Amino acid sequence: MRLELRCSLALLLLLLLVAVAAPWLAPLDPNQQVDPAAARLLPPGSTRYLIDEGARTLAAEQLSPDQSEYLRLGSWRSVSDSAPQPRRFWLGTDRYGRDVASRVVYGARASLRVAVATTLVSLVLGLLVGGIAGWRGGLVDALLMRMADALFAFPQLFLVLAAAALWSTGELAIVVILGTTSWMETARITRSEILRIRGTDALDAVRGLGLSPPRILTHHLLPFVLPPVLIHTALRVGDIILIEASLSFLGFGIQPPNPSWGNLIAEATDVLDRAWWVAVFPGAALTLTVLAFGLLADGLADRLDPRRQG
Amino acid sequence: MLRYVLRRIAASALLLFLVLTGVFLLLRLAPGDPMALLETPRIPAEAREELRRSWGLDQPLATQYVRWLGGTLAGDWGTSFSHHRPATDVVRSALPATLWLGGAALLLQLLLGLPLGTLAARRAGSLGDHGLRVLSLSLYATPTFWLGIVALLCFTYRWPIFPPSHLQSVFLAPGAIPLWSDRLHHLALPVLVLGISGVGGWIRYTRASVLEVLSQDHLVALRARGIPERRVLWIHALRSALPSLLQVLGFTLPLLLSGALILEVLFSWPGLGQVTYGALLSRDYPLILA
Repeated sequence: MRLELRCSLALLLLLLLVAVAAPWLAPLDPNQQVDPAAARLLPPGSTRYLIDEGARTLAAEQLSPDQSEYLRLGSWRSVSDSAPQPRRFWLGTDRYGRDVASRVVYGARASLRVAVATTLVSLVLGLLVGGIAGWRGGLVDALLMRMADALFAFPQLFLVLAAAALWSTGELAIVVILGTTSWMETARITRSEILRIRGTDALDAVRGLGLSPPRILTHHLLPFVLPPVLIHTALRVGDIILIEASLSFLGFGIQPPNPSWGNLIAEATDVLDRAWWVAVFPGAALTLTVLAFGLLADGLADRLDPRRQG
Repeated sequence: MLRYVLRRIAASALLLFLVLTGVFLLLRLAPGDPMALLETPRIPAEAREELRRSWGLDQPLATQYVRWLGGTLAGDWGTSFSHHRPATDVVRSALPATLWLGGAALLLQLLLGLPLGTLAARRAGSLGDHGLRVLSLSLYATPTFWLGIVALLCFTYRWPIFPPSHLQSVFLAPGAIPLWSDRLHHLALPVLVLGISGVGGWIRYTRASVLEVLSQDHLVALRARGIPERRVLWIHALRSALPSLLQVLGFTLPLLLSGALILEVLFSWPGLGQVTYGALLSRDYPLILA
């Protein structure tokens, strides 16, 4: 199934590009309120003429043929000195007259930033804890693994929700909270791989050769530990994005007005009966992203896991 | 054997203790104060002090901890600050709504996921199998709350088939039948959403475990005895896969609960999720802990 891997990589690359290039891709500043009175909740594809009035920007529905007058909120006014600029809102606007497309594009940044940082934290924690537990064994192992069990016994969302709601809601806090609550599975996989390898003759041989422990670790353990851990991590990135979005949706994650897909959807719930586009587009972006990571995990599993080949 | 059981029990007790302590510390060391909500000029400072004393918040943290742990073990989970009822009461009154939602959704997941997963395993590698694989991944990737919103958009705003929120209608004809049909009507949308969003996982797990079982010797033996393939698949293979599926049940439950929590907030469903959400907002310590 090389197709899955290719599709997911293409999708993720595109996503990364969008996130990095957000300032150039986004048609407007994501927080700019384009004439909240006249340009609120515009359906996707609407065009408005933006007229710069110095202190504020007005969004005109229509211009007179000679461009000297414009129609805004049902009344005609004359254009002052600046030339009206046509602007198309591809995905519509929200209730403050902000461009949904720009907000979705910037939302990709927040989601990916949090996801990547969290994944790194949990990967390092998991490898460390699992490695120490598997290598040391005995009491250290028992204690570390019980700790992992205790954390694992909770629905992660509850734990994260409680921590984020009661402690703090900055982006850094989310990364720390999510990272410290999602390393357990990685640790478990690492530990069991190390236990498995420790019992093999190959490792005894390597030891007998008198290699230094760091060298054994990087050259003879890590290559075995990494594939299953990476497969798992690819799947976890999707989970983490989902949890961050849920958190932001409930109002405990990334705080508005900074756009994240979760809080965009939350803001959309208030205008659900009038404007479907505000809710649907960020959700679609979110789903597509998580799907891409899921496909990546599947593809990686096919590729790296010898048991699933053939 | 007895020693093994005792050791497992001791380990579980230790686990429980760690969990309880962890949660207590997590909540109580957090900044913020339940009193902040009462910080209005209309409530005199003495009254606030009095309340603080009656809630035991004036004691040092260690004392509070010991008192709380003792109470919890004895079955007394403290009194909710905002509901003015014992925390167990609040939980108990919200529990049925959540059980209804979660139970019905789980049933839907099993009814859809098990057969589809078994089918996928039967025809592993076929076009249908790949289709189901993509479908289940997509379902997994779709956030529950967004699916809920899309469902609301479709079925309450675009085509008003289902009511948007709450447990039952405000105006209701008397009698048992209208009551139940009304309740089912309100239940349908959140259950559908929660159920469908979890089906993906079940399809995948069922497919994997049935596939693993299918190649085992005793199934080959059954086939050799001339038992029809259909019977082998749906009865014997599924039964052999059951233990691993039960394990799956164990780790999908937390997911189900998290999904329920968000949907309850979205659909104003008066269950545990709503209670937790409200308790978090007002720092109602005994209630969150319960």
